Amino acid sequence: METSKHGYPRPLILKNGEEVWLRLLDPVEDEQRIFEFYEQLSEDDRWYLWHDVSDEKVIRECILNCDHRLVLPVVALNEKEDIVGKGTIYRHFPGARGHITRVRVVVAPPYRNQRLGTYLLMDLIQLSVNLGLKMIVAEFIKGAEDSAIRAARKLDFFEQAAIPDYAKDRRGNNYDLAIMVKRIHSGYDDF
Amino acid sequence: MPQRQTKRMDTPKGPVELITYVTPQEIENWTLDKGIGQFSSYRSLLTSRESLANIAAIPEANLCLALAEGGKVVGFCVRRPPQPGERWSEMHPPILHEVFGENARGWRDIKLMKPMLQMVVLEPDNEDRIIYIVGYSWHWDLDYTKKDVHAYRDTIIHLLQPLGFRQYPTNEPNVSLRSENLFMARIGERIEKPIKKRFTNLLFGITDD
Repeated sequence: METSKHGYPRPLILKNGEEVWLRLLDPVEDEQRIFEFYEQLSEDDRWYLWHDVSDEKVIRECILNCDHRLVLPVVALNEKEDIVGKGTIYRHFPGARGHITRVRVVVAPPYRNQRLGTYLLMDLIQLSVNLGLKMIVAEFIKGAEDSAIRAARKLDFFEQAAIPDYAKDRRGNNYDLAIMVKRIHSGYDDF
Repeated sequence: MPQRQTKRMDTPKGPVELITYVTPQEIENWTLDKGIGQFSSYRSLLTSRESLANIAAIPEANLCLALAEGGKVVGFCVRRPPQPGERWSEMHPPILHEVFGENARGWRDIKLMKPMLQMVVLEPDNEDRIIYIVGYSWHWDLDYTKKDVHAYRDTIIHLLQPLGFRQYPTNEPNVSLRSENLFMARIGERIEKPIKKRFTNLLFGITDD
């Protein structure tokens, strides 16, 4: 997969002036780091993720040893080389959905409200452009992931659909799912 | 003192001479091909001899011209300090220089830009500079080249990567306006770490150390 032109590692400066670096997850070198990253998440945070990241076996199977042709995890590392954020591109095999990607971003609690989530999302968008993808889809749970929805809107994602009562919180309350889409333009006619 | 370079190219449209460090006086003797400034979706500001002469008159700039037979300017490539008011002009020390160029419509498919970029970018003095290029997708001549935004963008990346440019993330508003836009930079070999850090800060609009 052509990621070399994207130019990892890429530097970012957060709102507080701290420098972090983005690069692709290394399944071997980053194993312990990614365990420590997920350990920081609260039970509430983990509740809304796609995988049970409290289980190291699940992390190994679903994140470290997944098919990296279809799943591209990008990590943000601070000066101490701790993983402080993770963005992921989920691709389809090159068929009818080959031009589409789904994206997810998770930020460690101490690094929230520092624009890291927005910058990770920006990076996933630019990576999608560099990979020649045409449509980016992001799913957010309304009421639980509102700050992510706001960040996505700023980056030209539009809510295309909502599925009522799609998700439940830990107490059993229902939440709607927002399906947000960003189209990557191919020509001036698209503008 | 920078040294002028010249290079003769044999193209399907006849010989073309590439000349760096062109002076304003020299430009008076030449004419601009009518394809200069012809784009699908925007109006270039560099469409006259006067505008090129203004660039040539900037002491820190390097204007490289592609001259066809009869003294006709069919392309140019420029390295110059950023324009006042742009974020990139806030870099201290002022080592950021912008590179941009254009070939006249009708001369856009005969590979003139690559040698011009090599002459302008690979000067030894640029190892003390950070050279950047901003690619706005609305500047690209998609109609004439029959390329879509992605193919045009890839062409620029493939042109610049071998010269040491790489993509950098930035929140600069004009670049961020469209995800297809490009910001690439080449950090000179003699640039030290604190200056690199200052450049990274500037990518995100932070000018204090």
